[in-house]
Amino acid sequence: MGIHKKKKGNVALFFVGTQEGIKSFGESIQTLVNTILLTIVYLGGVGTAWLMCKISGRTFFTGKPQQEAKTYWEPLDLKKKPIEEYRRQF
Amino acid sequence: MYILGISCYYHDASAALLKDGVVVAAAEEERFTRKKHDTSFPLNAITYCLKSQRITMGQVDAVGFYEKPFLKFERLLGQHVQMFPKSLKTFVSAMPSWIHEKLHIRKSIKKLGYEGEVYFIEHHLAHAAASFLVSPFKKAAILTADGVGEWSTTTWGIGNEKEIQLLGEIRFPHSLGLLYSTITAYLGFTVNNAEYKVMGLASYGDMDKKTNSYYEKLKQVVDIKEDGSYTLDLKYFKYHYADRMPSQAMEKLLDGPTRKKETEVAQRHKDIAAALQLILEEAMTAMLKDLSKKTHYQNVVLGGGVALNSVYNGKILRNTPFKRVWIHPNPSDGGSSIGVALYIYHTILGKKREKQHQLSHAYLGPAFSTEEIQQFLDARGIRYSKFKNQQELIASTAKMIFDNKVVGWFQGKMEWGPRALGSRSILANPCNPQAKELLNEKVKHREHFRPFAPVVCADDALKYFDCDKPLPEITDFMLMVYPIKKEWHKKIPSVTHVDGSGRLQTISRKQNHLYYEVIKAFGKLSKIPILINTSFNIRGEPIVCTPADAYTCMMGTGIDCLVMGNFLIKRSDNEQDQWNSEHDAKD
Amino acid sequence: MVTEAGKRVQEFYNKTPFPDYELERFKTKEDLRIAAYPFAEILDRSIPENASIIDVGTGTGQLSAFLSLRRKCVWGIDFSDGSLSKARKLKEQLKLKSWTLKKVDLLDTEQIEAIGRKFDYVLCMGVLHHTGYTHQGFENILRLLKPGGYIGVGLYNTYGRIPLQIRKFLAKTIFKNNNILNNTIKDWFIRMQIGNIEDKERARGWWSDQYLHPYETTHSVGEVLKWFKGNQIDFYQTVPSSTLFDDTSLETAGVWNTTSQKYPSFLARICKQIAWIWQTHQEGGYWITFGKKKI
Repeated sequence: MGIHKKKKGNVALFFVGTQEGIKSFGESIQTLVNTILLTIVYLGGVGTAWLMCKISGRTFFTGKPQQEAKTYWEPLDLKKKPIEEYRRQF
Repeated sequence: MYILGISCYYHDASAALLKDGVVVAAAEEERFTRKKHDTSFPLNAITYCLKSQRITMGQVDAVGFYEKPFLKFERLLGQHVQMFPKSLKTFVSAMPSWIHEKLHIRKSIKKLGYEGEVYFIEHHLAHAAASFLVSPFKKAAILTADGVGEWSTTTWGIGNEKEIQLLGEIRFPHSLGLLYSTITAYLGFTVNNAEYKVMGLASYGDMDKKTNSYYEKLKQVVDIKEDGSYTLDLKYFKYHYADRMPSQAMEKLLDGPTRKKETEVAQRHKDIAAALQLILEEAMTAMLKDLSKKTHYQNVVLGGGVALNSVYNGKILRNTPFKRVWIHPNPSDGGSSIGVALYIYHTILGKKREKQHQLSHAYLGPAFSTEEIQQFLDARGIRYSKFKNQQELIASTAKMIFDNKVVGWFQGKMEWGPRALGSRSILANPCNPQAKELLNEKVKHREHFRPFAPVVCADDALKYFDCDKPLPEITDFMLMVYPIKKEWHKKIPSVTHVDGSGRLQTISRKQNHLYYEVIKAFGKLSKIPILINTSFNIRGEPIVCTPADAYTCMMGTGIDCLVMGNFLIKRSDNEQDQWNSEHDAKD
Repeated sequence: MVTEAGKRVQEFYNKTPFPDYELERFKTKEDLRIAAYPFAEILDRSIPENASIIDVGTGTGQLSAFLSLRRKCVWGIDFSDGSLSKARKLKEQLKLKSWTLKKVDLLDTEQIEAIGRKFDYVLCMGVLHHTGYTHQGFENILRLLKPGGYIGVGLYNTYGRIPLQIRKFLAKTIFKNNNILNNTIKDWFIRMQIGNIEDKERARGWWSDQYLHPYETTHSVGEVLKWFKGNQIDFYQTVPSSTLFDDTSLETAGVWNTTSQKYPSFLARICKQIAWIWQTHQEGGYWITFGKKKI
């Protein structure tokens, strides 16, 4: 915040500024590369999966209310399990 | 036996430590990093928890994480596959975080210097555990509702001694929490940050289902069945493939584009907020009534971010068959670090629940000794005075508040959860009709429609508020909004909301005797033992944690003085450190 | 065993006790607690409350006094009367009942045995390299350690100390062993290394200890590992870490934590010690090795 601003000399500022500039440039390159790679993965991987799901008719969720349904609750049975189950991340 | 619970990477990263099942330390990461709703791995919070018990990770017996990351990832991939190619942007922005952090929780925990057992439990189980396992109930019905966990967005179940069973769920993308967030975004506020503003705005709108046209419009968006279960019409939303902004269909339905921040809040917006509140209350009430029918339990606990809706919480016992309700002081994801730790201790390891395990207060964060505060003040050359004794501290503070000064109050252990509860609070005179404007303009820079909250001693609550009887314990955590009795509206105008309600905090002498005594002393001067209690922070910043944070906040705002430990620091005595926080204030 | 080096060192510490501090800073036990260095705080959390500790070469005792705040049995031994006298004043001022101070020469095995007991934890921080008989000293202090007990030994590193040795040479030339702190350039020189310190006695003590000490040796990690091996001590870790790419957080992991580090290979040790040249230059190339005595 605004209370304690340390005064830096011009030389120090130059070095710090250059360092930050290089860091920022590096981060921009990283973002660009990530974007390109992930777009390829998306179009290739996710796209393929989408196609397969379209063909097989599989959906992950529905998006419209169903007037005839009595309830939207789905059964769940989350209770104490063998300890091994809790060591898993799924 | 020490158990550490961790919650992070989505919002409100936090850590909590149990010693033999008792919560001995807990804090959100944001308080240390000063970055609001900080989501990063809570290294500072974990370090605090360990330091508070003078231990290292070597003495920790188990670590728990509050959800199942791989299950969540599976849901995310499912979203992207189903919504291809609309979700490209979200995929590209979200994947790096998953690849580098979210799929490597074990690695992050190992870096702490720990190689013992790490447990992962389902997201909603952590919410349920956070409320049920520290509640006063041996048996209770459980309802959790939030944005989304792995797949569940809403669940119901039962708690019995140390066991929790969740028996039904509503799955993503149908989510009350996400509905609320979308409307929050539509109304021009920040998602995951400002939902409570929308709740406050609702009171300015039309809360009558028959006359509020937006209620009927929103009924087209969400279909609520008799048992309270609901589903959303996804054409009005974008969160299942993009951000949480409303779709064009939603904007058309609500008669206009998304409100831009800092522009005027029209009556239409207030009515939409009111309609949303009505919808939420309708769904929650129906779910709770059905839950009561299914379980036949008298007690209910709520968890998940939706349980922060204190306007609704104050109506639970009146509108449902339940006799008692309990909610964790930090019911959203931040509180799940306690939830997972408790679940490990009681459910997984089978330890019995005893009276000492109940959470009767929320003072779980860092405290600073007189010596530490004095060292800080002296090192910075701050001008201050010291109270001779506690009586002087109490009397002086009460007098300053009575004289319409705005007092920063920094005492004891920092609160756990989003509310200030008398450890890191700003106190002011509720009888002063200008107090609200004063606080908003000079200190908090908040929107004018947001109310300030009253704090009252537990033994006086029923005199001023139309509360449930007996008074629910959770009024201590500022989780209930009740009507203020009509005869007091004009006497405490600064804490009376436009609809005559107040989100009160109650305090007993046993919980926080200093705070209690100040309120009573103020009551002797003003004849009304109630104070304005608002969080000690500048808008856009987390609540203050250290003496340095408190001093910085005071010097950047219109707070007149700071009562920190035994010390009194006046803003006017330290002109050299003054600065203007209004310039930097964010939402 | 009275040695020539030992006499010079004893005389030195009698004149300028270390670590030095202004006694009036510590009016309450809380003052002592909050003045603890960050690493002392980590050490305190790494040692159980019910453990017995001996700090060999405790000097003025700031570390052992701090550790005694929440424990029942903490000893501090040293051979300098000057240092122990300050320590005793601190003990009296704060009424530290569980802190025992004794004059013992660690090179004298009879005096070590005369202590008459063993401890769960033996600490010897920045002491053995001033004795001239570092290895012998190490084996002596092991007599104080219970089987299954834990040891921490702090020494100057052969590589890490190089920058300070260069600075020392420059300082000797410019300041000519002057111990008066009013000199502005000298003041700036000290502040550049250890920051702004209000406690003038502490600054003077540090300057003396680092720049004017009459006797010191340096040692390598490999050397200490050999001593450990030869004396049935299991290696746990060094601080700073000797393992390459170790990103464990010391604040949370603490020390004597089995997870932290594997036994460092020769290559790892060399790389790390070279890195210490710039990483530890502010501490004068100081590093600590932690281990556990086999049962």
